[in-house]
This record gives sequence, C-alpha cells and structure tokens, in this order.
Amino acid sequence: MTDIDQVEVLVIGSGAGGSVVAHELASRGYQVVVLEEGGAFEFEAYGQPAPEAMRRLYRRRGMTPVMGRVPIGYVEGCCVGGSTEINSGFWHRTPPEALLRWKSRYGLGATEQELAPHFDWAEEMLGVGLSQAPWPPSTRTFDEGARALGLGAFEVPRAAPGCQGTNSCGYGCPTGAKRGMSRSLLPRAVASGARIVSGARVVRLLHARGRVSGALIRARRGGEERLFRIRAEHVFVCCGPTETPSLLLRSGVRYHVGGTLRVHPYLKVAATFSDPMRSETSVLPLLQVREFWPELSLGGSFFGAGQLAMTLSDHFPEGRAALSDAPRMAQYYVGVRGTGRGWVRPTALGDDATLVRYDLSDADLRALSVGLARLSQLLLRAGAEALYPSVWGLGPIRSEEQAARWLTEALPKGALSLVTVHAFSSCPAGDHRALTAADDEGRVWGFENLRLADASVLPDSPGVNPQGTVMALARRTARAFAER
Amino acid sequence: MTKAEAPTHGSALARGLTLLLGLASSAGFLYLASRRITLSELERTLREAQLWPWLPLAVLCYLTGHLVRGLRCQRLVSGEARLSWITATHVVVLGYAVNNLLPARLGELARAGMLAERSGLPFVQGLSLTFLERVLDGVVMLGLLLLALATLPGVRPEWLEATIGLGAALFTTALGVVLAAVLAPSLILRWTSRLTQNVSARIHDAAVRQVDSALCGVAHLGQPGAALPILGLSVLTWLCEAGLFLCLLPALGMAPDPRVALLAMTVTNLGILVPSSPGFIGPFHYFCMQALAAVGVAEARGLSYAALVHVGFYVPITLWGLGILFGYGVQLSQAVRDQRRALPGGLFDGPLDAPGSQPDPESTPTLLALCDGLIPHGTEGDAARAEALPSAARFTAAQLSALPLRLRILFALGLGGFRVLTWLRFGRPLTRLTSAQRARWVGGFAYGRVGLFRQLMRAPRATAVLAYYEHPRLRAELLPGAPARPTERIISSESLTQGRVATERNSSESLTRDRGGQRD
Repeated sequence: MTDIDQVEVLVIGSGAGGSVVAHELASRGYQVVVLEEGGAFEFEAYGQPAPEAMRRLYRRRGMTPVMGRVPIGYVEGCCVGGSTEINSGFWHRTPPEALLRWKSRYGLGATEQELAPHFDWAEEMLGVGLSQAPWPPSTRTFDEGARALGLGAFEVPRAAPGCQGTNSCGYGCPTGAKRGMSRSLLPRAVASGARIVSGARVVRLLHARGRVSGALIRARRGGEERLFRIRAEHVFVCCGPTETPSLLLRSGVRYHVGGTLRVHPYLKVAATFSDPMRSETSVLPLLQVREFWPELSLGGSFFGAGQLAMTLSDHFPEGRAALSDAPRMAQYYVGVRGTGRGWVRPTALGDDATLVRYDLSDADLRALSVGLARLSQLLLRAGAEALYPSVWGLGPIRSEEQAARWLTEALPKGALSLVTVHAFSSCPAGDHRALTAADDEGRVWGFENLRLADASVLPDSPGVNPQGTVMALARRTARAFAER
Repeated sequence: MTKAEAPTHGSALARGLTLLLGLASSAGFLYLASRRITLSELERTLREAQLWPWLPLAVLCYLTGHLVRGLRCQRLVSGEARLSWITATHVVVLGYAVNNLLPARLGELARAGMLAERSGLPFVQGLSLTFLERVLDGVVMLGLLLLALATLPGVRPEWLEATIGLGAALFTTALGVVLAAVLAPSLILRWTSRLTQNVSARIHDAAVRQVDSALCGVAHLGQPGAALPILGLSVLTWLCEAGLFLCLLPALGMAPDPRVALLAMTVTNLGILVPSSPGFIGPFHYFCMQALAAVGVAEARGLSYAALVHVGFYVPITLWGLGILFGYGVQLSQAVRDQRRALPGGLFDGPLDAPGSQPDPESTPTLLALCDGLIPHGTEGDAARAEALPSAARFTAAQLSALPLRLRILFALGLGGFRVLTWLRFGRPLTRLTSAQRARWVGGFAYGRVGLFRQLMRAPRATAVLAYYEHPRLRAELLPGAPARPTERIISSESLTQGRVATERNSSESLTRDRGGQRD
C-alpha cells in the first residue's frame, strides 16, 4: 500500500449516476477516477445465455434477494455501466407529483423546470425515443387488450435507438442499440480525461473530522487479492441503492443511511396466446398502462425461454406442460409503487455482502391483487388463452370471472414470487435534515466533500423506472459541485 | 549486520530472560518428577525396556502424524497457494525441530518464515495459520482427553480437573477469535481501518495489511466443506501421536491400553504449553508421568516411560528438521525481508484482474440429484436432459455460493435437514433414489403446500429452472427456429474504442495530462 495514488474527484460506481458525474466533471477539466467493482466487457460478452451473463454482469450473480415477510428477487448490474447494461432501457421523466412531494416533504429543491434541461441532455446523449420499428406481436396484443378495456396504453420511450429486437436486454445488448453507460457516457468521459478502474471494490471510506480523505480498496492483481489506498479531494458515492448505504455504513457514516429503502415490487404473468409471439426475435412489450398510476402500472417484461420457465415454475410440475406453448407465450407485469419500508445493511458475517430487507405493505398487496385482476382482464380481452401469474397454487387464469376475484380479495402473501429491479430511497436527499442523509445537492450531512448521486438519494418511490431521474439529479449534483 | 538489523539491548535482555525462565521451569519440573525416584531405579527400568519392535513402531506412528499434519497444512493454504504435500510436511517438521532446539517456541516463527518462503504468502499469514493449527490441536486434544477420562472410570485427579478447566478456557477463547476471523473478516478489517485511520497513514496501512494477511490465513476454514476435513485431519494427527504413546507402553511392560495412551498423550501435550527449555524437557516428563500415575503406574516406571517417549518425540523430528534446514538452506530473516519488500503497489501501477476470473465451484452429486428432482420431465428427450441437467446443477452450485454468507448458512442448514429427512424416509441418500422418486420427493418440498419448504427450495429451483431451459439444446426445442444469437452491431466499434481502450489500459496517462476542459 502506498500513498502515491491521489485524485481530485473519486467517483465510486459507474452506473447511471456515476457516469453522469464522471462525464460532467471530466468535461469541465477535473481529474476524475471512476472505481467500478465489476468488470469491463466487450460486445462479445453481451447477449450471452443467462448463466454466463449473470456471472459477468450481475451483482453476486443476481443472488441478492430482498428478504422480508415476502422475499423479493432483486438483481442489479455489477459491471462498467452498472444496471444500465442489463435493464430494458425504458425511460421516464420524473412525475411532477413526485417532485412536488419530494420538495414539500424532504426539501429536495429539484423542480420540473429545473430538471428539464438535464432530461433533454440525457435523452439526447442516450438517443431516447419511441420505437421506429413496427410493434412486435406481444406489444400489439397488449394494445388490443387495453383498447378493448378502454384503458390508455402508452408506448414507453427507450434509450435504445435502432433496437433490433434480440430480447436480450437483461443479458447486455449484443448489438449496441441500447445505450447503457458503457456505450454512451463513459467513453465520452474517458475521452475527456476520466479514468475508469474496473475490478476495484471499495472496502470503506477513510474520513476524519467531516472530511473524507480517501478510500480503502480491494482488488486482484496477478491472481492475488490486494488492498490499496487512494486519496481523494472529493468523493462521489454512486454505487446504487443497496451498495451506497452499505458502503457508508461500513465506513461509519450512519445518519439516516440505509433505513428507508423502497422498491417497486413486480408480479409477473406469463400468457399463452393463439398466435406466435416470436419472443426470440422481438423486443419486450413496449406499452404501459398508467391509468392506475402512481399506485399501479401494467406493462411488458422479458420473456426468453428461461424467464418464462421461471414464472411457470410456480405452477410446476403440472404447469410444465404449458412450456410446450412457449412460442405462443409472452410475459407481462403488474408493478406497484411500493409503500412498504425496508433497510440495507452490510453483513457482519463473511465478505462485504449487503443484506436487504423490504416488508411489503398491505397497500402494496392490495395493489398487486387489483393489478393482477386488471392485467388478466386486459390480456384475456386481447385473446390470451391462459395466464400463469407467479403465484403458487393459483392455477392458470382462463376467464375474466376468475380474474375479477382479485379485485376484492388479497393475494395470499406466502404464495407470491415477486421480483424487482427498482430500488431507491436508502439515503434520501433534501434540505429537511430530520428526514434525509444528504442535502439538496447530494452532500452527505456532516461531510464537506462527500456526495451521493444515484438511486439511493431519491426521497421515495417515483413510481416509474428511475434511470432518468437518477441521471437528471446526478447532473444537477455534479453541476452544483462544479459551480460552487 | 546493519544498525537496523542489530539486536537492541532490550530485545537481547528479553530473550535472555526467556531462556533463563525456560531453563528454570525445566529444572523445576525435572526435580518434581524425580524427587522420589533414585537414579538406579530409573536405570534398571530403562535397561529392562524392550525397545524392539516398540520404539521403531512408535516413531513410525509419530512420523505418520507429521505427514498428516503436512496434509492439513497443505489444505489450509490451498485457497491461496500451492504447496506439495512433502513441502507442507517439511514446513511442519521444521517448526517442531526448531522448537526442540530453540527456546520460547521460536519454531512457530521459523515455520511461518519457511511457509512464507515456500508459498509466497505473507509472514503474518503464516503465523495466523500456525495459530489456527494450534487452536485446532488444542480443541481436538481436549476432546480426546475427555474421551479418555470418560472411558477410564475413577480416574479424575484434582490437578487434571484444573488442567481441563484451564485448557478449555484457553482454547475456547482462541476458538472464538478464530471463528470471528473466519466468519466476519470484513468487519474486523473495517474496524482495524477505522481505529487506525486517524493515527497516521503509515500505521493505518501497516495495520490493515497485517490484519488482512492474518485473516487470509484462516479464511480457508470458511469455505464450504473445508472445515470438516481439516478437523478430521486434526483428529487423525493426534491419533497417530497417541500411537507413539501406545506403542511404548508394552516396551516397559505395561498393557497397550489405548485409553491410557490417549490420557498420557493429551496430558503431556497440554502440559508442555508451560514455558520450558527447548525440547520441553521437564514439563514433558512430569506431566507424562503424572498421567500414568493417575492410572496406578509406579513413578519410576512412569518416568522411564516418559523419557522413552521423549526420545521418540525428540530425536527423529529434530534430525529430520536439521536435514530440512541443511537441504533447503532456509534463511528466515531473508524470507521476512522479502515479504516486507513485496508491498502492494499503487492502484494505477498496472491492470487489475477482471472480477469473476476465479473458477466456479463444482456441483455435487446431491445438487445434481436435487436439480433432477426440481425440474419436471417434459417433452425433451433423455439425451437433451442428460446434457442440460449437469449444466443446470453447475450453475445452481455457483449461484448458491454467491449468496451472502448468512443466507448460505441458512440454506445449508435447510438442505442438511432435507437430507436427513430423505434418509429417514428412504434409508438412503437423494442420489440413490430413482428419478421418479426424486421428482415426487423433491417436488413435494419445492412445489408443495408448506411455505417454508417452498422458500427453502426457491433459490435452487429458480436457478436450476433458468439454466436448464436456457441451455441451447432445451431452448432450441422450446423455441424452434429462434436464432442462436443475433450480433449485428448497430453502432460502430470505433465509437466505443476510445473509451474502451483507455478503460482497460489503466495507465497513468490520463491523470497526468494537461487539463484541456472548460472548468469553471
């Protein structure tokens, strides 16, 4: 360990938040180093079958369950680009209602008008837009169902211009159409002088008297695991909603850190139709019903062979037969805003793993039940022959009468197999110090040179895919730092 | 010798005092052992001893014990370094030989030094490995002592009760330290960093480095399936050493009673924890004799026995150790200096390894059988299943190993319970059930009515199902006509190259170049 490594701005994490900060500050001439725990991969590593993709691109291979009375499967990226490499690329601006709530309750000063130029910039950088290709069968069918029910279904813009429909967003886009950070902002940041060090995990931040002096890092070189220390004048922690609080807590930074996690719980539903859905040559269903927003949203999900089988496994062994209809199947979701509470903690046992807990609220359960009824009605109207929700013992839903049951009854908690890819709010930001871990500009309370810029700072659940919000707030934070 | 290498006055004094204390202790214990025995009695008993074939047999047992120790040492470092069995045995033997020749258990340092030299591991890691071996030895010895006492009714002298109490307190504390290091290494490292970060950068770095090395020394014990074999080897080691004591009982006309041999071996080895001269002369003889006295052996015969065992204990290992020292030409101080030089360089000094470059854990027959039970038979043929199932089991093993330790432990406990239930239900393990039996039995847990069982099986079920149906052969059957993998790129590689190359280069170029930006 030596003292020779000194940087001006240390950005920990290279996902949606870290990449924006690195790009913004490097382009302004700051000496920026981005530390990324995961690896840096070429095109060849993307779009591989699930086992290989999960090994390379996912945190702990995708084995980071959210524990609670109803355990929730949770995955996030752990590679250069973070979760933007494995998400769907769906893009939302922050709902104005959420911004107003965050301002009044948490003192987060970001307004719709203030964030608009940041969104404009990000959308341009990522080529955000609607699909230019004809809708695939799974999207058309969803649209027909929504029309039949008189619901408004909207195509969600994506950061995937020229998408070729390989249905492998979750395993890294092999064509480069989806603009993950490794394909968009990070190359620009590097061109501006930023350096990305992949394979480096920060063990803890070193700090004294309200100043972070650097970080203790664990990495492998030449097959040997080693510790390094790096000194930094300013540190941006952008490790995501679970790892940012975990790192802060490991470093002894505790004020309102990790105790207010929120997630968007999702219930998946596999549907069999009479026509082929062409899952392997089409993008996931692109529409979303926001009629019931913010409590509830309905939309499309990935549906490769393995993903369909996972959903159907709640109906195994009898449901195995349904897999023979895989070419005629597509997968959709019921997503709820997530009003339960959770926490994030570094584990005391073993390596630097992070424990995550979220307790589904009664309102979440109610919304999931109603959502299942609504989605089932929509899909049945669209011509679905059978629906397989990821609920044990529920059996296939074949009629609207069966579906309508869940408008009034609650799904059995113990039978749910929920998943989520959206977590946030574990270190809320805003000027109301009594409720937040960082101030309006993302600066951690009590520290003059430690800032946060990722999904952890969202004060509560935005109800939509948070990537756009994260990028806009991160740019706002970086600009505030540079213009201070 | 440079000034830095010259021993300071204080350290020379401490070493001298240690040596004197050891010699005084040895003399005291020798006096206690022989005060009621005349030299002629001792001489006569020894002369009557029947050395052939008992002494060679005893020595063979003892040397075999060292080979087992070598195997244990090899396993303990296997996570970090490759040592041949014979080299690992030499490392162990060197430590024992130096303890026989030098005071204050300097053999432990010699052993850590040689381990560092041979394996490239840090010296402190070698020391922590030695500590771990000692703790395991202590725990096993206490267990064997209790076993001996349980099988020797009426043998429970007061001094032995005190010895057991002291030993239990000592080794329980040490075991606690080892368990903390095995189970919560990151926590210990973080606290080390936290406690030293405000002292000075140098002290912080040194403390973190040394603690990290020490933690690495015991880390292997935390690997799944590693602890039990190592504990088994520890038991075998001490059973071999008990063989030394057992074989020499008939040499002095006593019945070869394994219980007495165990008692003598454990009491003697616990006794030589008392500081003494090199070779443990004095305490070795006194405690060995006392153990025999507890089962009614006369003092003269007991002391003769102790002397004979000590010869078997001391001479071969010391000669073997001297041979190692001569053969290898080990320079301990050089090894330590080399380790000091081999400090980790800066983060930017060279490329880092890609994460996940370590090999995946292998599947086990039980996991394969579990996956077979979890994945229902469908329309796929036997050949496709035979191809995809092992791949799904391998993936499942790797995924389960990635769970946080707490969940891994919970899952291991649950799976252990499931295996016990399987045994109770069928009288044989899951691997020996027919495929149909497995499907019914495992399916009853994974897809049955009991929520707790379903939760237990949820992780292996989800991962096995995903990998199985994502297997190219199954995927092709489920989705006929699906392209293998479209790869037409829609953005040119050039647009990424600039960033990508710079990313992997990790050179210091970009840090030192002029700022050309428009910083405010």
